[in-house]
Amino acid sequence: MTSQRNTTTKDPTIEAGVFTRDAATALSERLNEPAWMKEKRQVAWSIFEETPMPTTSDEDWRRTDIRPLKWDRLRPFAESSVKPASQLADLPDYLRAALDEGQEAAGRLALVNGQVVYHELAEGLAAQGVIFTDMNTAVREHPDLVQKYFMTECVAPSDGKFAALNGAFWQGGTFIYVPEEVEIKQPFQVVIALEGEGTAIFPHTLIVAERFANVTCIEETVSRRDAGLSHGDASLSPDGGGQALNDGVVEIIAGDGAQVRYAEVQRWGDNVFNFNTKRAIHRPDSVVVWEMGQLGSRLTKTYVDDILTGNGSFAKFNGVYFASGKQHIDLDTLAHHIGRGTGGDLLLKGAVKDNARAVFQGMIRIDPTGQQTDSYLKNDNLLLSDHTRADSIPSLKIDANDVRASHGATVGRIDEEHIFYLQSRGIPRDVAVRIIVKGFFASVFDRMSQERVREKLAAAVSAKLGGPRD
Amino acid sequence: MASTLTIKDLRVSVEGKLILKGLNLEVKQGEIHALMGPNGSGKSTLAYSLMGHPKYKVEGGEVWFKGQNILELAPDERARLGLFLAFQYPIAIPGVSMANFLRTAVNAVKGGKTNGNGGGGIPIAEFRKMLTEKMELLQMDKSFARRYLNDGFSGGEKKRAEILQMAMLEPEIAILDETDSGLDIDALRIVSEGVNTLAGPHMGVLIITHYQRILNYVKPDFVHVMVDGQIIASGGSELAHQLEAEGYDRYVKQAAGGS
Ligand SMILES: Nc1ncnc2c1ncn2[C@@H]1O[C@H](COP(=O)(O)OP(=O)(O)OP(=O)(O)O)[C@@H](O)[C@H]1O
Ligand SMILES: [Mg+2]
Repeated sequence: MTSQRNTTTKDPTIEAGVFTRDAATALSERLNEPAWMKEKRQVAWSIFEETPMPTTSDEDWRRTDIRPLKWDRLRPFAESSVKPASQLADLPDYLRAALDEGQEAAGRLALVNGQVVYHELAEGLAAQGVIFTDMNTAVREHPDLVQKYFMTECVAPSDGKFAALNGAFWQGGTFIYVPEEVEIKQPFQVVIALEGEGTAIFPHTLIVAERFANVTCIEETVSRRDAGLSHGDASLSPDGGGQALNDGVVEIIAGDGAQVRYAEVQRWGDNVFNFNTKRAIHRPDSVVVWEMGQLGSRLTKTYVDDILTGNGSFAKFNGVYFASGKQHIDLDTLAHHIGRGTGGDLLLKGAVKDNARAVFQGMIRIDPTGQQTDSYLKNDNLLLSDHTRADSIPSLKIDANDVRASHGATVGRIDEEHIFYLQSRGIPRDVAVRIIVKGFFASVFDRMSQERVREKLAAAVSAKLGGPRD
Repeated sequence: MASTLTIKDLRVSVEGKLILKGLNLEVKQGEIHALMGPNGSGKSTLAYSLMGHPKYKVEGGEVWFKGQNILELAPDERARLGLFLAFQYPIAIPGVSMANFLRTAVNAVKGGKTNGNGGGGIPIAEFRKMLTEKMELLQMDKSFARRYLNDGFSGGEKKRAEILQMAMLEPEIAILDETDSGLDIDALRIVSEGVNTLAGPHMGVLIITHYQRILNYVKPDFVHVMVDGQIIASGGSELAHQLEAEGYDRYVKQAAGGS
């Protein structure tokens, strides 16, 4: 990141006095954490203090202005109004829906404001050495593994202001460990819920797949502005009241020949400021597939990096986003090819309507060691009203000579000829538009490995387009 | 009573240029008309204007169909009234499967369902049966139903898909804009047989073509010659033979001299 230090700019987070070194220590003590984790939080906090708040003069934040986020209105911890349940049936409807009740899963985890309200692991997996639990439990029960992998070789506090803040204040998130050669057919399903106004949550997910392990994790994010009540759609008051914050980290360690699929269905309410640092470290011949639907939030800035260190490793990305209302969605991908014969295939498609804005920045970087890399990046944007804007900025940095790399970006509107063609078959204009937009996303949906994720995203796209459900 | 499409003194411009300059034509349900004319004479402009393409601006005239001046209707309303256009250059729409698209269209035109909701309208079993029948009639492989609309179709496949759509929607008046061009002789025969099966008392057809070829299979009751935005001669099927042998020169000169 190319941050310019500006000594005259005060740090709004520190000014606000909500997030402090003492608060991070208090959290660690409240959670009865071992000294090493307390220490990790302290280190992260120090880095946080030293890191300037990103501004629009930083290259990758140039189009995303986070000043509307009012730090002094946030609370670092909030209780959950949802009582822990031992049966899925006892959870509120919205959590059950997010966990795809009725479908098979390898395990399920529900977190509300960082606290576990439901957990299950399919029979037999524990006996094979599979660990699936919330991150705080993992610190207590699997300290060696967590100490080895937590913010050590994947995401680091020094990656950015929000990664550092997560390192200091993380609570909740998923820990998955899959031993060598264990293949898990069904996905793990996780819901990360945020309740109330002014709430700030810091989920931290760590997935470790050993040699030839095979695992899928689906995380869905939801929020309720009024705890226990249905999510209100009232527009934000100008003073920033009603805001909430999600600052998440996802770390994936894909061992030799391992296959990891990580899906995110992001449906935060329109009051949530959403920042994420997600990264996968690839050992040789590993495959990591990201499947992502960005639908909610007031503002999103999410980094997704693939560090393809291992020879023959492969990264795939199937992403959709749909920004409406006043939403601002900014995605930033990196495929960093370090190993020999690595591959990347990233496809992201987004629609923008009303006054919303989308930003996509995608980098393919090939090191001198990354010979025989084959990397592909494509981003298409569809503007659905006159007041929207989408920026697509793919880039290549290639330092090897025997590689194939290509990128493409489009920003366009629906072709009137397409609408006319459908209308000429008796289909009304508004229906024609919906059909065309769904068709636009189809090429990403067709690539998705998780039927339930695809169905959810398709339904969400339909809902955003208005009109009848199907 | 047979529905009639009546075009009266139609004047249409494209991007500020007048293309149709007072065109008159009447097509009745059950009749087959052929419209021939040199490149750029305005044949496709007529077809698009009848269907209501937004780029084609009506400067004057009327088009009556089933008691309405359809120039006031949106394209989809015209289609639901029973008008159909097989495009000279069909549009590919990626991500929209042929089967889903056809079901939505059939429900809109015949099922009175225009909200695009997959459910309701014509029962799915009935729809499938109908689709299979019509695809067999046009000797189309079943896999076409799953493919995306015209996406990656060859020129000939696109034309066949247009006729499939016509067969599914069963319009009262169909305009075929150069459906014959780009078809090899076998495909032409199959498509022509399809048109003949559908034509008859229930459907009137306006075939726009440059070639006598298709008219050997689909026998026109009337042939019209269009030059410079007007129909300047009409006759029986013998006129098509004559045009093919002599070309349009005589008519072009006549149009130039006459104005
Ligand atoms: N969308 C358009 N934009 C600009 N000009 C157009 C458009 N459509 C038609 N024209 C012009 O209108 C005139 C008539 O074109 P039209 O396509 O109707 O002819 P046609 O008789 O169908 O020709 P062809 O036999 O080549 O299909 C031409 O001069 C053409 O360039
Ligand atoms: Mg034409």
